[in-house]
Amino acid sequence: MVRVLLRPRTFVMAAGLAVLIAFPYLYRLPFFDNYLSDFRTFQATRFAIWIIVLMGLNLLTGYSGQISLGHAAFVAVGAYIAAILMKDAGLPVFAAVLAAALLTGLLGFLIGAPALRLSGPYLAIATLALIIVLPQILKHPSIDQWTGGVSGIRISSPRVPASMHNNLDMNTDQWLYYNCMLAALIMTAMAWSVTRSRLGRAFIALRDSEIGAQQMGINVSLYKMTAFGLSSLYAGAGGALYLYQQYYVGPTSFDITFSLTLLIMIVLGGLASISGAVFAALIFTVKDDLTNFIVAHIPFGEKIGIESSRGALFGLLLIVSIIFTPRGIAGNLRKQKEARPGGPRKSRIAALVNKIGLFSRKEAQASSD
Amino acid sequence: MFKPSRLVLLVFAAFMVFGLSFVACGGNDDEGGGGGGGGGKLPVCEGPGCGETVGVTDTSVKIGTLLPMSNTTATAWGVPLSQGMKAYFDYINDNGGIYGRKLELVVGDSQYTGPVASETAKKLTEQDKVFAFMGNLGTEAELAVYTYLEEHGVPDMLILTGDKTWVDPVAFSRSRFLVDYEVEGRILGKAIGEKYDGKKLGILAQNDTFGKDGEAGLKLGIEDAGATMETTTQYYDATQTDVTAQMQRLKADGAEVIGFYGMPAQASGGIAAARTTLSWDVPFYITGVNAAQIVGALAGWENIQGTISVSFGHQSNETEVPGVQAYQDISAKYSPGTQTNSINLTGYSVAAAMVAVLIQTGPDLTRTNFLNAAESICKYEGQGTIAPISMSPTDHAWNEAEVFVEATGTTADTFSWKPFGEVITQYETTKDCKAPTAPADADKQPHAK
Amino acid sequence: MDQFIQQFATGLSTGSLYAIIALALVLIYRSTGIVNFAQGEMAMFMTFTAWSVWNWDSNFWLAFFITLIIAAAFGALIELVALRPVESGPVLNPIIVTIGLVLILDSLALRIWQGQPKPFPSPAMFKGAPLSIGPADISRTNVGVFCMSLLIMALIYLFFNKTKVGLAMRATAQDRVAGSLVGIRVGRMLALGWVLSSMVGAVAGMLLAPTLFLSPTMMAGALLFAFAAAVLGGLDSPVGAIVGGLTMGVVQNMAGTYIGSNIDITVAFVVIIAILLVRPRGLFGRKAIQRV
Repeated sequence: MVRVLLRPRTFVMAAGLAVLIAFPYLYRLPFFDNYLSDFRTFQATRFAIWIIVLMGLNLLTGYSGQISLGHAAFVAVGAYIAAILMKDAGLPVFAAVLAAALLTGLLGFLIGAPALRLSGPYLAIATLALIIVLPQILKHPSIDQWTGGVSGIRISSPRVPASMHNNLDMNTDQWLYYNCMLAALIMTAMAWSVTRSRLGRAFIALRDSEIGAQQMGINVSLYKMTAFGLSSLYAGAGGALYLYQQYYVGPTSFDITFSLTLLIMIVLGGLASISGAVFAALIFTVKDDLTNFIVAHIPFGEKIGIESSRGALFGLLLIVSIIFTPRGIAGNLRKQKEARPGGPRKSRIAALVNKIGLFSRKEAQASSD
Repeated sequence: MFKPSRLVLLVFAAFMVFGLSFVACGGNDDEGGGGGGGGGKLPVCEGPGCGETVGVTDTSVKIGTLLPMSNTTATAWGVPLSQGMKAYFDYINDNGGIYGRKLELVVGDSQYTGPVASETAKKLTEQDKVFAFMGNLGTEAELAVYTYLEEHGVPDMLILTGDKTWVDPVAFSRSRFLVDYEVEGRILGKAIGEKYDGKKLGILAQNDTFGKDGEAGLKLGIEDAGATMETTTQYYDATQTDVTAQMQRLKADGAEVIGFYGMPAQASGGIAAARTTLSWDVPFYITGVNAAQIVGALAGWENIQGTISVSFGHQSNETEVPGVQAYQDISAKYSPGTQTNSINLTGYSVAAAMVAVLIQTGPDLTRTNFLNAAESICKYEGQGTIAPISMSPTDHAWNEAEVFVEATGTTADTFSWKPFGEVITQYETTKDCKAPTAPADADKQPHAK
Repeated sequence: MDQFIQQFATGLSTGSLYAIIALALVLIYRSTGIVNFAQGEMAMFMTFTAWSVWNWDSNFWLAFFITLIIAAAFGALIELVALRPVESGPVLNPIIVTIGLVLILDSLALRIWQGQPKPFPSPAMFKGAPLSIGPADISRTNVGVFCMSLLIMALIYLFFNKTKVGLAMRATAQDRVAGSLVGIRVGRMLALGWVLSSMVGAVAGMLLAPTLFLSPTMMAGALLFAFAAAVLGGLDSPVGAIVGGLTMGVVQNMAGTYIGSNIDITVAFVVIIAILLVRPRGLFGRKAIQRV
């Protein structure tokens, strides 16, 4: 026990935790006030929410190899369920978030069943269909008494509990930050333990070779559905927390662009890696700031009309980063680590990612190796 | 093999910890939001971006706007709007600014979606510290930000969507530029009812707040006219550009006149499909956003003849109107290379209205003074708008008057949306108003004439 | 009954729009194994190019053929610059690159040609009164699009089955290593795949622009349905693309007519997924045999 406490890793983690706890108050100190603010706290809250959402997608796509272009649909469903529970059923926030996560997870588990038969691009388009049709369903008159139809649902804005406000001088942004960051920590720990459990190993086995997994006695259907369910649970929790922070959700709050962006982010962050999801969330959070920064500082920007070409700039950055870090940030870091003499045991990641088998240049390729 | 029970246990354990944190902290049990900014007072607000003179110095004032500038279909609106706004501000700054203050426009990219819009609004408020917002575009984006802006006491002016949420109930810090979608539908519906009593109305509506409000308005308008008309409705979603099938269904349902509530691509496509594919010479009444040159060009000049619409503003090429001529001149000088069109003109009109309020506020610029000045606007002859605009503490809607226009002219050069009939002012909520006393140097401030 | 026939016919016309884009998607999947999210934007970009050429010399067919040549170069350029570097990396990467291309092309088109939709000329033979088939009216443009889809389908079939290059391309798509072992220049074959699909996309764009109107987002909606159509027919089957597109159009219109226009897309996708559950590789797709 003592030895565990004395490991350098423990210190790093403790320091990290301390920074996370202190973060929302740091801007009240000199020096930090130049860089931090309530707005940055708000962004950090978003970061925590995106961690949860992207962690779920990474469990599904990175670990178990099922591609989903419709992850945003589950985020939206989670937000709607939480909104309905808070507004119509008057549930407290915690109960609503929990229920939204579980119900979305259940829905994902069930949707996983038809997905069993599909793979590769077929599965991708089928999941994309979810986010294409969701707005029509949410707006349909048969359920608009709950979903608010075209107008969506607005709940009361979050308030800091009086005790927190009085004793700790906490404002709404800080309160939301602690709630969401705590949730993100717990759900990250949960994902970490899942990936290191039998469940996680079964996911990986499934991704690498479905037939092989089957022969090893893995119940492929159950595990695929579990992967969908688990990733939806994460999406639902993220959506519910998003709602809590934003106190509004509408039928097009999460659109196709958002859904595709989620996939882009986990690839940029690094597939099949816990830290990959965290990097992905970080990029997602700062991407607009980054583009704005470049727009503001690029030489001759005015002349080439950079202001109205942000989309092109972001697209360009995206392609360049994919070319230079093909395995995402997490994958790249790992590679550097391995390159060092005496590095950790050989990673399976590189080999695994290659073999996801999705969008493969025909399955025949897999058979050649 | 893994045991499902262990996972379930894990999930529950995690959530229990998570949950306790909420309970221990007392949860979220406060009364509803809304902030409550009515009655000429801003809500109590502490924190960055709060305060009366945020974004104001002796030589400058920062104005923010939330527009879709990238990654979305709506960029086609955001870019020309921002260019129109900027052209007018540049013109004012070139002529010395308002009471010596240069106007600084901060364009925030909303990407037309809630998640991005809310973050950008917070950034503009708390980091860039803008004094006020103007001309925020898009119902979805505005829905995600308006309560935040209201609670922070940031003026949220001249909103560019016609949703009734913005002005009903009235919030001290918020006002809307576009005509209410339902009112516009009602004006069109009344005209339809008067002319086609006893016939069947086919409605083609976009499946969102815009289309649904318009549909409700059309039906109310028919009642206003004392007419009895059967109606049949078809919807389309924004991803569907081709509405031939919907038009065909309306024809099969026996519609004898069409009320259209949607966007230019579908309006033009619907009219073209009716005339050419379906050989159907049905009269069209289309919503105001479509009273633009482009709709005639897309639908075909011949096909669109006789189509009726409404407009709260002048067409960008109606240079016989002094305001429009000024727009053309200012655009040419301060925004060279930009296409002048109705969207660009709307951005310009919004900026002009903003400047009018700033002039009326006087040199002592605070948020409360500014908003009070906005409420006192009386018979303001807008730039490019059709009728004088009046505001009051209970009326925060800028444009409420419309004029009917009819598509005439069968070539690109002769085509125009020709206004006809009286300007409809019955929905202008502020009937009487007294012109406020102008601040001392008001007449020396630059503004387009 | 008349209503049914008319809606069926309208469904076929809507479907022909999806079919022709789906053909371009199938072509690129068949020759490179990539699902190209940028297909719609590439087509849009080429259609704008055609519009510029047409403005310079208002002859539709001249613009049409000049654009085809530009499209070929454009496809090759994209393959070389953007796709070649991610060729050997993880399989999701090319997909991400195509999404990046969507953003770039969208944004550039907006900058160069502005966002307001523009009318696009129809060739003279597509103009005029609609064709009547029984109680149904179909516009000439849609008939033209449909015939063009069939023509392209036939050409793709001949190309892949009867020409040496076509066979080499199929081989490359199936197995790169084996392809290069038998002396096929894999890089060239992949580039050729992009060239061809860019050209088919350009044709699709130019034929659809009179209906969808020319704007940076003209393809955004149609592309989603085209994806569904391609998947429904089987991603490697040109015949499937046509059948899938038409099915998609008809189902959507039937749902819109008999169930409700505010739920038509949903019903269409539910039907497609139901069909996919029975035939997981689409109606005409070949079942891949996976070996361990």
